[in-house]
Amino acid sequence: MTRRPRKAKVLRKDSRTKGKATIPATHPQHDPLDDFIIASARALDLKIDKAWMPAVRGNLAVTLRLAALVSAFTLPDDADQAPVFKA
Amino acid sequence: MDWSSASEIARAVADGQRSALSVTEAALARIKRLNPKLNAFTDVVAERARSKARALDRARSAGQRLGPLAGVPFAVKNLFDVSGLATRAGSKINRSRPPAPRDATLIERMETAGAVLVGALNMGEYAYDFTGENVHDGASRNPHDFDRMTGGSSGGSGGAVAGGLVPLALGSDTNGSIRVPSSFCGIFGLKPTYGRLSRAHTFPFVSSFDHLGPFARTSRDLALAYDAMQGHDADDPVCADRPIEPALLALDHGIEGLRIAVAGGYFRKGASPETREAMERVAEALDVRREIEIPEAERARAAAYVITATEGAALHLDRLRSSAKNFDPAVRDRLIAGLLVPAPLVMQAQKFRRWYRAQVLELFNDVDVILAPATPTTAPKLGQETFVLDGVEMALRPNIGIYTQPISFIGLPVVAVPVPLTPLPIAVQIIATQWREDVALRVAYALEQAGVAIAPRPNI
Repeated sequence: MTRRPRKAKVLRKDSRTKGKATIPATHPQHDPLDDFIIASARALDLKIDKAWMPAVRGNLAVTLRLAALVSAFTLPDDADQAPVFKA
Repeated sequence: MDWSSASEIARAVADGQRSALSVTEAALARIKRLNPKLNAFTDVVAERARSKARALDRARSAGQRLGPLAGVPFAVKNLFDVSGLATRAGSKINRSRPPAPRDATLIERMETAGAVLVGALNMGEYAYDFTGENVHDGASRNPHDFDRMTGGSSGGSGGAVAGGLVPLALGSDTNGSIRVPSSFCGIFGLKPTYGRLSRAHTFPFVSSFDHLGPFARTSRDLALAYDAMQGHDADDPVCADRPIEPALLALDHGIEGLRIAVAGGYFRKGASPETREAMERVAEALDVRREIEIPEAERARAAAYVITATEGAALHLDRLRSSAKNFDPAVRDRLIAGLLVPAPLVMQAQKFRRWYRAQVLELFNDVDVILAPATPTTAPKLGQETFVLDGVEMALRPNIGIYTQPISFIGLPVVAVPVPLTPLPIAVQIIATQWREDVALRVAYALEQAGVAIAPRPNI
């Protein structure tokens, strides 16, 4: 039997916002990273409480900034990763 | 015996000047008296310890030769499996796990050498921590100032040794979790080469960076414990199949002829006056004038951060799905963020890791030891969230490890040596090339003999 992934859900304490994923894209406070977080969480079947979003966003932004620093370093196409599988 | 070294205790027990049981009882009494202040221990295994001590005393009475750690009390970070205890790894979630059916390999090896396990120690949740704070068990407290951090994530290990509760403790170091508490608490810590000591039967954090190692108040005790724990272990696929290479006997070889340099560039940035003072004292004592640049250290730290965030998060995906509210919120939010990092960024960090390793190992063709700061500051206040580096206010938690991460990233052996500044100590990293723990320990021993690296005794 194939398990169907559940929808990612941004939980809210305020029932008036039920059904909305996050701040609308047109809202001045909307952060484009929120869309990525919600979509990725959905793919991972992960629930993220609305109250956790600022910290998750902040941590992800730091990691992406540091990852960009690493990615800016040019390596040859045949560079191997640190862990190398041996049969 | 409050401040006796492991070497002194083992000698006294082997010579019959002290019984192992009396040493154990004294340690248990100290833990009972001081742990309410330090919050270093989360579990005390008193009856197990007494039973082991009695067995040692019987063995001695029967004329058997005792091991090099005879009767030495020690404790382990609570991510080590201890038979009969749930391996909590600083978490609330793991407390519902069944009790461990056996001890971690390193505990077995310490006890084979005669040491006596007295308990398990406080730590940051799932080892994702540099502070020593824990929302479930409370913060471990610095013996030099109870209002300050021990450093993490092996905070209880640092506090227990610096506070005189035990002469030896074991901890883990993924990005600095042995070296940071050594620095904040003012003790010696050894992070061996990646793959040197078995990690079998311990709870992981980032397997490709995880190391285990000892804390002590002297470099001789570090070497004693390290030697007792060496050896291949098929239960840890990372553990190298190398012969045991004893370091204790090498301590007396001195440092003449060793080529030592100070790390410049990245490692000069962001240092507090205390960090600089400690580096100057150590460099002066060793008569080191040479400076060396570790290439791309800042990028290495960034890559270590990315791999930690993602690999550490992947370990907890199921728990984040089912029990997210039972995590420390600060850990949970970092882990969730780590789950969302796109894979190509991680692949690049792993490729960079190989490139960087080759560059740094090449430096060791020209030097034997590199000196670098352990932490950018002395122990911060508990609850402190920011600090100032180079005039810029920065988040504290992720930045305490700026000097340790570029080194553990490629698994080099490091001894953190404490420099007894007033009012708070701070450590310097003695870095050697892979598999040369003996060289780093020789330098640490020389600094200790010169009176420059000393574990200061707190007034408690």
